[in-house]
Amino acid sequence: MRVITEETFVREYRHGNRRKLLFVALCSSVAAAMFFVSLFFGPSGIAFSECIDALVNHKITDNKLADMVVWDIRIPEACMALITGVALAAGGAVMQTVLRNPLADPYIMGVSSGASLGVSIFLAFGLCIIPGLSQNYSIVVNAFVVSLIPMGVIILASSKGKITSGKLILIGIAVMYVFSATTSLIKIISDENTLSQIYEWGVGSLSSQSWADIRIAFVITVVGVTLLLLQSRNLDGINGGPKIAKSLGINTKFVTLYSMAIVSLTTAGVVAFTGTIGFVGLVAPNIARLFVGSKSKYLIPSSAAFGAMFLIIANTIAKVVLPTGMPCGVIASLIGGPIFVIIILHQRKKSLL
Amino acid sequence: MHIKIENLDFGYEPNALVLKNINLELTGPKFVSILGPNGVGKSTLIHCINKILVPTGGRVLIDGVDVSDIHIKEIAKIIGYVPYSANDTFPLSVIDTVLMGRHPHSNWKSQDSDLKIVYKALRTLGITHLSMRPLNELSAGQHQKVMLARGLVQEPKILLLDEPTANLDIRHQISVTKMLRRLSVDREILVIMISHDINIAARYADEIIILSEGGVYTSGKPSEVITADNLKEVYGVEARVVEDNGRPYVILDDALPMDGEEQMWEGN
Amino acid sequence: MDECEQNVPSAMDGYDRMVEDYHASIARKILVLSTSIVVLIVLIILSCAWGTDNSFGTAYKAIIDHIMGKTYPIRSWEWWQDHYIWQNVMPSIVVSIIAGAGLAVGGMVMQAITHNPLADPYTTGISSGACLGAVIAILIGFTFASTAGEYGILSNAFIFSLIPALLVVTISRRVGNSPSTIILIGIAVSYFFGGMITFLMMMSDPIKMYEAYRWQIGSVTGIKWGDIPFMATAVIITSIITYSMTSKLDLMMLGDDSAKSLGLNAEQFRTVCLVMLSVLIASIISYTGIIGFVGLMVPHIARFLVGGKSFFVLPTSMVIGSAVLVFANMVSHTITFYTEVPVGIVMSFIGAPFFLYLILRKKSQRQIF
Repeated sequence: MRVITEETFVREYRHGNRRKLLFVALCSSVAAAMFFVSLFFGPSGIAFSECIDALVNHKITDNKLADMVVWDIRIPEACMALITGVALAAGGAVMQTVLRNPLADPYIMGVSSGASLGVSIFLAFGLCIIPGLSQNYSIVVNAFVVSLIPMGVIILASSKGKITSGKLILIGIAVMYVFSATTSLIKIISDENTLSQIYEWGVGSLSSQSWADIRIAFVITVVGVTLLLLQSRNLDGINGGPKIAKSLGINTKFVTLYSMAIVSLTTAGVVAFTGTIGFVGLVAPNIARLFVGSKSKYLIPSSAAFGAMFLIIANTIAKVVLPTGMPCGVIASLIGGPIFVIIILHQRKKSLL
Repeated sequence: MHIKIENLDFGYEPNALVLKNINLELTGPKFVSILGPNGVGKSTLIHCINKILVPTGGRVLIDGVDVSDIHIKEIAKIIGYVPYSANDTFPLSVIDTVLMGRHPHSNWKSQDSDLKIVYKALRTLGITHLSMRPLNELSAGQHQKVMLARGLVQEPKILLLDEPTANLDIRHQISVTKMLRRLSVDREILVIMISHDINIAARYADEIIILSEGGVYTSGKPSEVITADNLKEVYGVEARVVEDNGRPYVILDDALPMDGEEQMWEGN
Repeated sequence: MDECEQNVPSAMDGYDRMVEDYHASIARKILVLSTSIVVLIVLIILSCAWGTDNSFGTAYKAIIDHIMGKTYPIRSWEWWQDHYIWQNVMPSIVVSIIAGAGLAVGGMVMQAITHNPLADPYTTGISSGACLGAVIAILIGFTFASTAGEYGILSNAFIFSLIPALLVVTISRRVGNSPSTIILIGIAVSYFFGGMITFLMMMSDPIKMYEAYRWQIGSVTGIKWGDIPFMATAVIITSIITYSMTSKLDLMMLGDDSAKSLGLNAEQFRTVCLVMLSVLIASIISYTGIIGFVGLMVPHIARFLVGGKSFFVLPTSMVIGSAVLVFANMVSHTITFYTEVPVGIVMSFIGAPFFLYLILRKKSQRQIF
């Protein structure tokens, strides 16, 4: 048996942690690089040199069209990709930890089904929670507010008695079914064009975001992820199981519900603008976990960085493959599915589940 | 009943063998106990015998026939297995769980004769009062007895048990081990039990096999293999072995510092 | 002195009592099963009477008369009534019975082979496969059948829904098909197919998209007598096969190691079940679309009522599955909310609260979750 001295032990631990930070740095740099790459692609047919020109000589260039396309369409879209990736992946990582289930994602508490319902109500009946807003903001407000209802129901339903992760997941499923059934009902009774609009919203899209939207989503995401990071020690305790958490002096119920509420709020803040983009929240944390392990302090930033990278790559590919605007959620699923299978095949023995 | 293990290798991953070149020969009726520290592959060895795992190299012969040539349904008629724990996601009642041990012998309809065998097993273990209870309501010890009962009703020629007394109180540790010993005599079967309790094993087993780091360290009669030197070498403990009724009895004195392990809280 | 010491002959005293208890528990289970059958029959008759002027009694009489072979003069009142029941109402009832039973069997087997109480017949991605097939037929017009249209959609849905199971079986052959592998691959396949569906939906015009969407919501209306034999055959054959395997399903629930030690090749059995299930569910789903909840919920209800033994859980699940779907179908005919509400949506509205109740009810003797 190899004997490990104290020095080597500490050194190896620090080294391991540095490797984890390296993973974060690597993903972030790739994401940053892809951010710039993605600016050169898009449906507007702006040439490469024009893009450079618009980037360098913002507002003073003569090519107003290129300037507008780059600064008001492409950069916001790329920013949204990064923000969404961060929010969904970090949310997924926390949900998986709290529920101790690698198949959990940030939507598991019904955010996506709630948001779809909110949007459907507006598109089909023209009802908005705050009347008199413009069409775009009515959708955002409806999506945001209604998407938080399932979470509220779940918190109410689990307020009595002790909560277990299995119970939470099941309640989440039940609530989600009711919401999506209601959405289906609305879709069925609405006419073809409305259905098409609802469907398109549901697929999720990163494009046509204004700078104001980006600012709101950015603030929500930064605040949300920071709050989650502050919980990382408690999350690790919960990950060890309810008894261990309790013995470490953690108020399991509060931390669980609090973290889930934060995740739902953050997710809702992003989803309201982009629609439901799937797969990132499920896959990014699982992949990050392979590299950095399950310690929340590293898992949350790694997932966030990987999520941002994944989504901006998917978005770039979407723009390259189909310039008329293929939703990047589709690309994320089409690339993510096979990647997921490959990971399963490689990792089965180390038991992902 | 005769088990012969020839040059058995097993690894969950190709280049990390858990068991290396195991050679063993066991002839029943006999009560054998397998001892050894954590993680040396005791359960893995048992799983290789009844074909739950397929060896990476070497072979296992039962009465001269390679197990890889026997259908597992046939193996189930010869070899019973009592796992350390079982899945109870969808719990059955105790009686139905135990009845399942009759599966290798019977068709899908349970006969009264099967019920009689089940009853005897429940009675032997003193759990008849639990027969209608769902499995997931039982305590760990009761659960373990149900698993034991299932192994018994299988009426095997060879019975493999993975720490059957781990969750039992001291009285039942003794009574269950005694029962296993009697079983090996009365039904003339080969009982192989993984255990962590050296004294129980030494008191009742006919033969003891000690595994260490991937291989058989030694095997033989309890009085031959339970020695202070062997225990020191395999488990890293300082122990005195005294004789009691012709059987060795171990008094554990201290855990020796092992490589990579340091005494942190001295003086206790 | 202690139990282990006692001799067998005197120890057999309690045997009779144990057997008595055991038989009593079996009798109780049979009683539950018979009650469910009665409930199912009542629901069927009620469905025929519902929404018409007929009382329960008249509907009952009309059904019995028809089965007895009684005929009426053409276009008489009785003839119309008979025609209405047998041509308009009965097909959807029969489909509900068949689909409900089939989905319940599918859910039960899937839960047993994946050791997962949340598994349902669609766990391996069958539903996304069927949707993709149907969507391709509706939106692109590419079909496997020589005729396009209705049967084109059907054949496409059927063939595509077999792909996910095929993938699971081939992929898991390389790594061993543990429950987690099946679930994970199912998720990946669902996402992949979901991506393709979304892509196609986004490319198409709203009218076709509406049609494609409508197909996905499970519904039992608009099914003719001629559609039934295929589905019925699939369900009957699979049920019989499953019935002959109930003891093996029990073994599966103990976990792979125990199953193997009792002589069941768990991996092989799982593959057999998967193949059988895909054919079963594919044959149902290609006619009805995706009806959720029956496959997930009904086996739990059945297990709650008759305990865990598959020998009783299977028939009870089938009957309850049929009853639930017949009921949902009845409700879906009653509520018209701008348009007829498809049974799939009704199922979610009935199922979800019930599910919630099961989870939240006070810890009782028999906890399901």
